[in-house]
Amino acid sequence: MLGAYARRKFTDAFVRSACVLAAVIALIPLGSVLYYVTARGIGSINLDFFTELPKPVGEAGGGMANAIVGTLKLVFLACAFGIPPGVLTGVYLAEFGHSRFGKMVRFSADVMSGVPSITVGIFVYSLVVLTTKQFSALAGGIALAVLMLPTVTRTTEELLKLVPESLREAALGLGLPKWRATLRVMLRTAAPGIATGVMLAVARVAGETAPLLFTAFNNRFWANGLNEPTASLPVNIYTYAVSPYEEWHRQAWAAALVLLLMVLLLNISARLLVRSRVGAR
Amino acid sequence: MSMPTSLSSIPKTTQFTSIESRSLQGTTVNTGPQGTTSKATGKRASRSDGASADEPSKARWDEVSVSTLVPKMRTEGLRAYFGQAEVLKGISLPVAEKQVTAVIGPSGCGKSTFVRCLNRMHEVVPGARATGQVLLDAQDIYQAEVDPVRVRRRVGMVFQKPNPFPTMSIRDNVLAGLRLNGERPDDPDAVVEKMLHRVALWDEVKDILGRAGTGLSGGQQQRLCIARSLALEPEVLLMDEPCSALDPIATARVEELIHELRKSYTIVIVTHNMQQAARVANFTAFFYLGKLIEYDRTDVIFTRPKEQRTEDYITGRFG
Repeated sequence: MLGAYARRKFTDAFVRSACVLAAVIALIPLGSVLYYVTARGIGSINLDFFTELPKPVGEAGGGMANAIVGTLKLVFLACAFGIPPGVLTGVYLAEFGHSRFGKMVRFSADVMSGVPSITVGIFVYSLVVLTTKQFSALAGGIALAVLMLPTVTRTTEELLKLVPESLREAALGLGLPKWRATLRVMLRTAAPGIATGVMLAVARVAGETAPLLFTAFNNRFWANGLNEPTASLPVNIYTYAVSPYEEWHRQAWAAALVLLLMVLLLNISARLLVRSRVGAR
Repeated sequence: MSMPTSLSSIPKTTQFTSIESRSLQGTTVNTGPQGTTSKATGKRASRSDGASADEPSKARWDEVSVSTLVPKMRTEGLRAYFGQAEVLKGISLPVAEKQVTAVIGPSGCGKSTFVRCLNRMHEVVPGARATGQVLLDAQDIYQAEVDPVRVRRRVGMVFQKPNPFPTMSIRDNVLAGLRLNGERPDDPDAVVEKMLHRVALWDEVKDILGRAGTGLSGGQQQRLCIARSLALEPEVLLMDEPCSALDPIATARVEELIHELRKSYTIVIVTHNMQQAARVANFTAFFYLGKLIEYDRTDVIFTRPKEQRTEDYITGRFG
């Protein structure tokens, strides 16, 4: 009897420490990326980095103001194009997704989330860039939106399914038409969770490089409006990092740090949203 | 007394069989509940000249029977299905106006399905459908041109598990039915206070109206849900095991509330608890395997049931 208890205690300790060890190992890459990017990037970050355009090769200083604004533009466009259809598709799947068509849509969304981002880039290149004969923020935004779409759709569907059916019954029992019950009760109740999922999707596409290479392209100067080639932080990081210039390498690190902080900020605000939601309960 | 009046009101509500018409002869019970009616049936009440308005309906209670009740709703050959499975096998049952009708029976006998058919909530479940007639006043609510959404506003529903909207405050929960339907009451605060008074919840929550409705205790939540239904001024209130998730004290509060509410509303309550049926209901229907086995005044059902199965059930021999 005692032997069995001792053995169980030993097994417990063993498995528990194995889990802790695995968690620590998983944290190592994350921690070292954070540390390395900060250590290498922090030195090149100054006010100029946020306010100046890039200087020509050979000149020291300059910044990436155009790329920072470009990334914000692209993310904004991605949200504008990606979130509404994504959420609506999610609602469709949650409410009417039992049909054959619904299953098809769900399957496509799952497949789409596995499509390499470079493929999405080529797709938007042929669809938008070739027809408008123009690299543009618009094309870049569409590419990012396509990447967001499956995540937003599936998140919305899953979170709507988590809303208790009893709330729908309550709403219908109050004489609400189905669309109102869905919109004002189901979607409203799931909204904080959906917002979190959407923010995580946004954070993910904010760091995408491949689909932007031949959609938004790049620009050493300010882009006017949405119909010109537009600089973005990820593409700049790529361009600067593969260049042979020491100064550019430093700037690439700085850009990486700024991008990392932007994504981190998005993630943290998503978490805070979750917390405020739990707090409200 | 006012025999013609009683008769004139009958075709409006339903078609009585000849036997039922005969039993009308010696009795004035119909005017009892009729005379005391208010808003919901104002038209009819005014037509009966208030002949018995001041007579307490209780005095006539002994004479009321299933065959003479004034139906607010009535089902005729109601059959309900989930996919291929027939869960209600032809239910014909009148629901008395401004009375409490309890539906009892063992699990799976179709009690819940029955009340869900009364406001067309049954069909909300995928694959569920119903045939037969459900008359609300004289209108068959299952006719093609009837909008189920309109039916549900006249026939409110309270569910087994309290389900206040978690994103809304207590106050907003009470107003939810109006607001979500796009209505703006002139004085929302007055509506909130009136409805919370009606469910005897006002004193408990008047200082915390802004807090989440889900923060209340189970019994308070259930009364909040009842207030939410009543805010739409329904004529009929369906209660699907409203106390089964509540403790005995909260149950007692809800039962007291039902006693109050039956003065103004027609109530149908599904219950697992036979004592509860005996305590709150005027009429009791016993369902078994999708069939209506017996329907009578509650005291008759519990003291001298005609059917052996009813007796077996209420004495706890099965179910």
